[in-house]
Amino acid sequence: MDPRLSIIDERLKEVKRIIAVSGCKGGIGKSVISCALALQLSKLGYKVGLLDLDFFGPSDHMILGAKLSFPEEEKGITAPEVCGIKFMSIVYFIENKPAPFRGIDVSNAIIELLAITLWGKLDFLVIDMPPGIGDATLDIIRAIKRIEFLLISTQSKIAWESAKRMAEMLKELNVQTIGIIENMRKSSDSFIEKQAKLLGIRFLGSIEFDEKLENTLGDLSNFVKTRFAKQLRKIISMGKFK
Amino acid sequence: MLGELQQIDVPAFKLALKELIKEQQTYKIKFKIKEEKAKLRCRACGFEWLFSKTKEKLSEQDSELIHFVPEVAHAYMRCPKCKSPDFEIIKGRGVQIESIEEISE
Repeated sequence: MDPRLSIIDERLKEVKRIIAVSGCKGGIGKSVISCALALQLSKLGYKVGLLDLDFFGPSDHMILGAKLSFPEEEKGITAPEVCGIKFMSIVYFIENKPAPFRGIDVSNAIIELLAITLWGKLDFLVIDMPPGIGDATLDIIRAIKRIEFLLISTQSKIAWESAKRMAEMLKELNVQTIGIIENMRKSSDSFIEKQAKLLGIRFLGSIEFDEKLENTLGDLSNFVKTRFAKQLRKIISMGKFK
Repeated sequence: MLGELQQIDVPAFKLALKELIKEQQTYKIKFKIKEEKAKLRCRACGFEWLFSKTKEKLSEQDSELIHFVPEVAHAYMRCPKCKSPDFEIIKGRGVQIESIEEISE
């Protein structure tokens, strides 16, 4: 019997909503959207946490320009505050070293992080998911029954096919999907919006490809001023996360 | 069962369990604590080794990080034979409840 599973609900009991940002394909902007979403919700006055579960390429700390120091320990690990949000990532434990994890290691490390992290009172916990319907996704669904998924896709038909498969799996497992955001939009083609409608997923909006975004990663004051951040803000302000 | 890789402080763990017993009045509870040596196996060359044999090579800080999340051993340890980071934890990972028995008086 694994005693860690029974403590996860206790650790998250004061967290109102838990949103997993996911979308199957790599490089579609899950991490930047996770960070920008957490920052924007925090700016709106909500108490927000951010958990980077992409163990193969943790990057949220780089996007936030966070100076990491090891979290405090007192009957668990307190998620340190970074840029006004409570932040937890595997980088606190592996620093900058390569850490090759197999599936079972990913599962164990995710359960361990969920079991040891103290979040306190939060309105939103945003989870930056790794690509794919693999161990991390299945573990999060198993460990957090009230998880909600926010799906991301680019205009690419390949990205959409993966997002679609994920949406279908979530439906089959009775896991709530908030909707889908079309990221890195380059043309006026409304393929994703139409496909989302056909599949019965809420289309939350589009974010245009922003060539200036890359240079603002790690520079928070300019990151929040980008066209990308403004367009995500618009989607959030439309109340589609309520 | 306390797996060695997680490096639980056994006296502190026993003290915490003692407090837990005090907090509830319904049952008389006894804990039987077993410790298990951590054993690792290299997926590249098949070599097996005990964590205790290589632990001394870890810094105090690295050991502490492994204590929190045992899987991060992959960032700080390598197979002693072929230096591969691709190894599995065969046994002794962390805390497990082996069994719960109800004994009526």
